[in-house]
Amino acid sequence: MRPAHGGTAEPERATPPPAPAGNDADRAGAADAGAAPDGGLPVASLPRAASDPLLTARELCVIRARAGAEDVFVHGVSLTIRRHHTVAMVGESGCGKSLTALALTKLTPPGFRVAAKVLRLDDIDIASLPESGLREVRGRRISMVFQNPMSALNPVIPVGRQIAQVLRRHEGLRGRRARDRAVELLDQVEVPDPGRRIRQYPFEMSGGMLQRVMIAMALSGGPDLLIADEPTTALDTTLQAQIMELLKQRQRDLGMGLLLISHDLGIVASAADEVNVMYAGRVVEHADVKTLFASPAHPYTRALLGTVRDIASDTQNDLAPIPGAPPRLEQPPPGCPFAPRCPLAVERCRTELPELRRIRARQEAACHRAGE
Amino acid sequence: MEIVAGAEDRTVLDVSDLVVSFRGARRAGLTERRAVRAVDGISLRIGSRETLGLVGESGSGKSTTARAILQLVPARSGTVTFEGANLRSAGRNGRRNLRRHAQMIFQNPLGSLNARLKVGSIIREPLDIHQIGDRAARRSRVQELLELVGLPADAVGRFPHEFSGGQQQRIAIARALAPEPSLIICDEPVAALDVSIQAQILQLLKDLQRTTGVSYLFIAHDLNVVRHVSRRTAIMYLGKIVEEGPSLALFGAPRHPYTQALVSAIPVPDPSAQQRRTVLHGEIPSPANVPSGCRFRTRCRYVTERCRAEEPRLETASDGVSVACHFWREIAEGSHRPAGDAPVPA
Repeated sequence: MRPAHGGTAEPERATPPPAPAGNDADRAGAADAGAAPDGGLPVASLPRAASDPLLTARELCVIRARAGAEDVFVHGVSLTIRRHHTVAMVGESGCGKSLTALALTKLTPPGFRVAAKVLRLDDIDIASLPESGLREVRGRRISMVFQNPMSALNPVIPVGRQIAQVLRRHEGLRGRRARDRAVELLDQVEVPDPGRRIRQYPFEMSGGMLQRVMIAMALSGGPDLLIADEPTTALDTTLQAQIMELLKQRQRDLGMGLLLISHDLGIVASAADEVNVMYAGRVVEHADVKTLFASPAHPYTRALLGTVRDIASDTQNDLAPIPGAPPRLEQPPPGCPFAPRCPLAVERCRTELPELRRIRARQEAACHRAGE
Repeated sequence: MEIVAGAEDRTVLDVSDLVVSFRGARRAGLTERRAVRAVDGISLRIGSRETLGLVGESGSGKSTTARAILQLVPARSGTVTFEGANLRSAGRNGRRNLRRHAQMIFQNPLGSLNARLKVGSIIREPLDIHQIGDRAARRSRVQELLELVGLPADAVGRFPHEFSGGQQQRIAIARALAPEPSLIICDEPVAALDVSIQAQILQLLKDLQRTTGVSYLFIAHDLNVVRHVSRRTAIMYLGKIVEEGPSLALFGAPRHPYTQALVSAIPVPDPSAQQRRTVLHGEIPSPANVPSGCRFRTRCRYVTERCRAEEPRLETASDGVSVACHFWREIAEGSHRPAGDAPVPA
C-alpha cells in the first residue's frame, strides 16, 4: 500500500505533474505554483483526498530564551506528511530530530518555545491552539511511540490499566468497556493471550512485548499521525523486523501518516517514502527514499550511507567513519555546520550558511558543493 | 605480556561444555525448585589476534556465557581454559592472571564507569590493582592509552559524564587495555551508539587488535556489526550454540533455520531491494521452560515430529561450519520445505 515513487505508470490524477522535491513551497514549488500547493512530493497512486497534506510545518523553529539572548535549537524545518505516507527523519544523536518531533505538538521541554510560519494538522492550526486544544490533539490526533518502552510505562501499574487510563481520557471508556477495548487493542498488535497480559506489570514483559503495548496505547485513539521516535532501536534485530511490520500494517489499516525517527538508514530504506536528513538542527537533505539512497547529494548523507553500507557489506574491509561528532545545537560553527567534518569543505563553507536548494527532481540539499 | 607476531594459532581461550544454571523461582505447590540452565553445554575457542562473534537474541545466554568465562558467575560444569590454565584447578594465581589478562567492555559505557572518579583515575585503576609500574610509569601509561583510543590528553582531569557516548566507550576501552590483556570480552559494545559512532568504535577495536594483538569475544545482536568484525561467529539460542563457523561462510549461506531468520531480518540499506523476509514469529521461550527436542522447534518453519522428540547435535560440514539441525542438508537442497506458514505451537 505504499505509494510508488519514481514515475512508473502513473494512474489518473487530479493533480498536475509532480512538483520538484521540496518541503518548502517558497523554494521548490515556486516554479509551478499551484502544482502541489503543499510543495511536497507527488503521491501517484493515491486518490486525491488521501494525498492532501495531513501535517504541514513551515519554518518550524525551537528556541530557548536565555538572559538577554535566544538559542535556536531547531532552525526552520519544513515538513509535509500525508495519510498512508511515511516520512523519515535521520541523523546522529543530538541533531534535533526528537526535538523537532516534540515541537509538532508543542511538547518541547520547559524553557523552550516553538515558532512556525505554518503548523497545522488537517484544518487545525496547531500554531495558535491553546493548551486545552493541544491536549485534544496530543495522543488522539497525533500520538507518539518512544524508544524505551520500559521508561515510558509506569512500573507499578499493570499495563491493562495504563491502556485503560488512555481510553478513559480520550474515549471516555470506563470499567469493563475500557478493559475489553484494552484486550482488543493488544490483540490488534499481536500480543498473545491479551486477556492475561493486561494484568501483567511492565517488568513481567519482554522489550518487544512492551513496545507492542506502547503501540497499542498510541493507536488507541485512532490517530491521524503517528510519530515513532526510534521505535526499534532498543530491540533485537528479529524483533525490529516484527515491530516495523506491525507499524506498517497498522498504518495501512488506520490510514495514518507516519513520522519515523531513526538513526538507522537500514530501517529507513525499507519503511520510508521520503527522508529528511537532519544535522545541527537543520534539514540538510530532503528527498524521496529511492533518490536519497541512489544519489545522496549532501556529504553528510553520503557519509552516513557509506558507513551503513560498509558495515552491512559482506566484507571485513576497514571502515572510514565520519570523524568527530555533531556540534552542540545551540553553538553551531559559522557557515555550514557540517564543514568541520566535511571532506569537501572549502573556504566558502566556513563562512556562508548553505540554504536548502533543489538538486534534481524530488531532492534538495543544503550544500554549496552539491551537484558539482 | 609479550605477543609473538604471527602466532595466529595460539589458543587464548578454550571453553568446553560450559553449563551455567541458576536455581529457579519457588513455585506454589512445588517443593523442589527447578534449575534454569541459562548456558547449556557450549564450547568455544578463540585464538590470539582473533575475534569470535557471539550472536543471539536477548535471553539466549550470551552475557551469562561471558560472565561465566570471567568467573563472575560459577559454572555448574565444563571447563574454561585461559592462556593454557584450567581455571577450575588454577587456584588464586590462575584467577589473578585471568583478572588481569581478560577484560570486559559493556553496552552502557556510562553505567560501567565510576561517575565519581576522573577519567585518569578510571584508566589507572587496573594498573594500581595489579601493581603495574611505578607512579610515573602509570601516569605516562594513562597518557599513552588516551592517545591510543583517540581521546585528548586533558581528558584525565574530567569526569565521564562530560563526554559523549562514543567517547565514554573509548574511556572504557582504554581502561580495558590498561593491563595489556590478551582477551577483551565486548558485550554489545556499540549497541547504544549511533551508526556513525559505531563505525568509529568498531574501527578502533580493529586497529587496536592489529597493534596490540588482543583477541575479542564480541557479543552482539546486530549481525551486520558481528559479520564486520568477527573471523568466526557462533549463533546462540536458548543456552546452546546452533551454528558456528567462519563468518563469511556462515552469513553467506546460513544453514540453521534460526540463522536464516536472523540473516533475513538484517535491514538492507537499499530501498529497491525487495527483501524476502522470514519474519520470525513469537519470542524466545523462557530458559525455565525449554521445549523438548530441538529448542528452536516452537518457532521453526521446518518443524517435524522428529524435532519434537530428538535434540539435534552440532555437526560439522566440510567447510568448517557446524550446525545443530536434523534437516539442514535437506533444507539447503530444497527437499525439506516449511511445514506451513505458521509455526507449530509449543
